[in-house]
Amino acid sequence: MSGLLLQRLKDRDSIEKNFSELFNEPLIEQKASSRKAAEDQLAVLKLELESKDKEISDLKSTLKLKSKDTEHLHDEIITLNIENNLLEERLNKTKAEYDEIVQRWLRKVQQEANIMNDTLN
Amino acid sequence: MDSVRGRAWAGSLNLRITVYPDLLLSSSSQCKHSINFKVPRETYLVFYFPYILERIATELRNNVTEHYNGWWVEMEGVPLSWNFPVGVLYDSLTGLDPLLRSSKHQSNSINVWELTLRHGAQSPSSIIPIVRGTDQIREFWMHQWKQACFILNGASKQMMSLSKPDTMKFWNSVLRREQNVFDAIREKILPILENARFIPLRVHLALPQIRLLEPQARVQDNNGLTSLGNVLNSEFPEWFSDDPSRPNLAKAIIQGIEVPLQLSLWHLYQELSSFDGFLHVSLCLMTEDASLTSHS
Repeated sequence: MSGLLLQRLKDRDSIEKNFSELFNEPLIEQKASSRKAAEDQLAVLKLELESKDKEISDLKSTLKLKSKDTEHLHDEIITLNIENNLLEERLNKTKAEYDEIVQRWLRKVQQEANIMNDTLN
Repeated sequence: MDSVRGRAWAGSLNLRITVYPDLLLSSSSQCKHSINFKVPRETYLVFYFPYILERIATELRNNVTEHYNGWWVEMEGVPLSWNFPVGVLYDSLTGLDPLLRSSKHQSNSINVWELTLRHGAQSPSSIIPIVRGTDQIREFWMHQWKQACFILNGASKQMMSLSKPDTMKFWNSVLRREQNVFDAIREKILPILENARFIPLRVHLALPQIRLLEPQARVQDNNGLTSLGNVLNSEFPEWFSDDPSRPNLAKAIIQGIEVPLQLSLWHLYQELSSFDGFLHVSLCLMTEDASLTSHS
């Protein structure tokens, strides 16, 4: 029985599809709405891209500022180092001077003690 | 692979849609008043409204603001209800008699269905207004399947328990014309023969007036599987006699072909039912012309 139905469907198609290639078959599969969805998505993504671009440039300028700061600090460290060296030199010099003065003082006190001893004797 | 279901799914109709003159700009040229395209038999014509309107938009008097609401097509002044498959509307409204048609067919003739596009603030009362576009069409179609499922199984459970992705796949298979996807999900809804109760059957009549009947059709009775003839005989005894010696006055047309009445509804449903879950039968009353052909 399927054979009969099939044959009749074939007969139907031979009539209904005769020259049907002349007629185009429009697509209904929500092309329009899916394209709209794609366009909407594109708009959203473009907005996101814009915000990301802004974020990147912000970060770049922050980075620039930070590196400037670092440079500055480096300079400071060098300056302080030099200062430190100079001060240390001066300290050493002063220490030596101090030591000498103490020696001289001791020597002087010894001399006075000797003189006093001599006069007592 | 050539199969009855494959052919039933792939059937197509050539359409020529002419725009109703009142809708057109008076300056538009004659040749742009109509557009030709083909549609599958197994689809709703309303899906093509946006396409039609896009093509004729420039010729219309008014801007197209709505793609569905307020638009309808008619044949010889009779509005077409969009809520039946295109093929069914064609078969019933043209009173298609396949035998008569093939007797007139020549190798260089083209079968074209001529329709008119209409628009109005108030659509005809026979047409369901579409106010929510494709969503409404989808929901309508889902309800058709729920009804069909209920008639077949005695419950809509099989339909309701489809997963959300399956439901969408089912719908998209209709839009994208993917028969294998469609059939796979359809299989989940259809019962096996032992559990089937009734056949979702719709009988379309164009004469004497346009009518739709939904006869109760048991899958099987005491004598075995119910045949199409049994049902038609009890619904239309004046046209379909149960006496084989008396000729029937009408023919049963499904999917554009005349079907033998002794075939079981169950079998016909498996092979020729439409994408909305119903088996649509159009009755073609035999004219003298046709009865001559059928006797010859």
